[in-house]
Amino acid sequence: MRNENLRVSDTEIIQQVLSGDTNAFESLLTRYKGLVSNIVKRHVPFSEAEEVAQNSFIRVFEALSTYKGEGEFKQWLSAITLRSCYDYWRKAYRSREIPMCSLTERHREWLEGVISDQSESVLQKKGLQREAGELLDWALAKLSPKDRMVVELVYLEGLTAKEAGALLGWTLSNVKVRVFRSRKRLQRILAEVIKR
Amino acid sequence: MKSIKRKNIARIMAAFVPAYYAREKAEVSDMWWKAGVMGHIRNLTPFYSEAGYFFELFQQFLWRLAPVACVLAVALTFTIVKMDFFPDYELAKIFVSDPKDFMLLAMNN
Repeated sequence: MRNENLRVSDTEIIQQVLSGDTNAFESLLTRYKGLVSNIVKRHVPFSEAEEVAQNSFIRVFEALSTYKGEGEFKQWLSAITLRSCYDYWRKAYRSREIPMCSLTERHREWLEGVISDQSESVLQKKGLQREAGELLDWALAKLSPKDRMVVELVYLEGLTAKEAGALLGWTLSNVKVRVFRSRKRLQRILAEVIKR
Repeated sequence: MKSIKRKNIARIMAAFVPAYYAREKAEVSDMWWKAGVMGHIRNLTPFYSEAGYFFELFQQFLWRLAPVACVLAVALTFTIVKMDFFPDYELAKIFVSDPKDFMLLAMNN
């Protein structure tokens, strides 16, 4: 409780940084390293997570003077981090450097198991947990960066279209259209797996 | 071709959720993490208070304008030489009516 009271607020740290004390930014870095790291690990390949997380903090520092204190700093920071992840995928998509694993019979088995309403525990017993992750990566790699972000935020994290739009800086109608399109695309992509 | 129904897509996405969040469990080495970010940030232009802002702005532009000033100085010298400009003659012209005589007088003491 005492520690909580002694804790310097984010706004105070930001003021210190803006008045020239660059070292004060280290407190924000320590405080939000976990949050940024988790967001990045969810959205970009593990091998790129460290670099994207670092870039996110650098972007936060550069944009710090534009933070008006409206809304939580955490939310503002999350939005910048998400946009860094989106930029990573845009770059990777342009240079066609999207890692894509090859699928096996076990991936198809997992998918058919889910469709035939087998419970998570049944699939776990069959040792098909890793296949779920690989199949997800494979399917997401086939989506455009925009569709990928929408699928991850709306379908996997359970955010509303409005919340996703606010984080990505997109309009509500744009997100809604993306949600619809990405679901259609995913349907087609996953149907390919069963067809094999 | 087998198709996937809309309700199945929702079921598949729900089944993907644990795998999606499992990505967070992977440990990122943070040995150089903080040092890397802080090192980069220290190299960036820092923020300044209002009073120091213009001074820093001036300092930044002063160095950028230095080569321009050098080029101007060289061009000016070249122009003066080309125009047959003699500073002592021009100075004498201000004080005496016939600077030519003044120069001759000066030369002969």
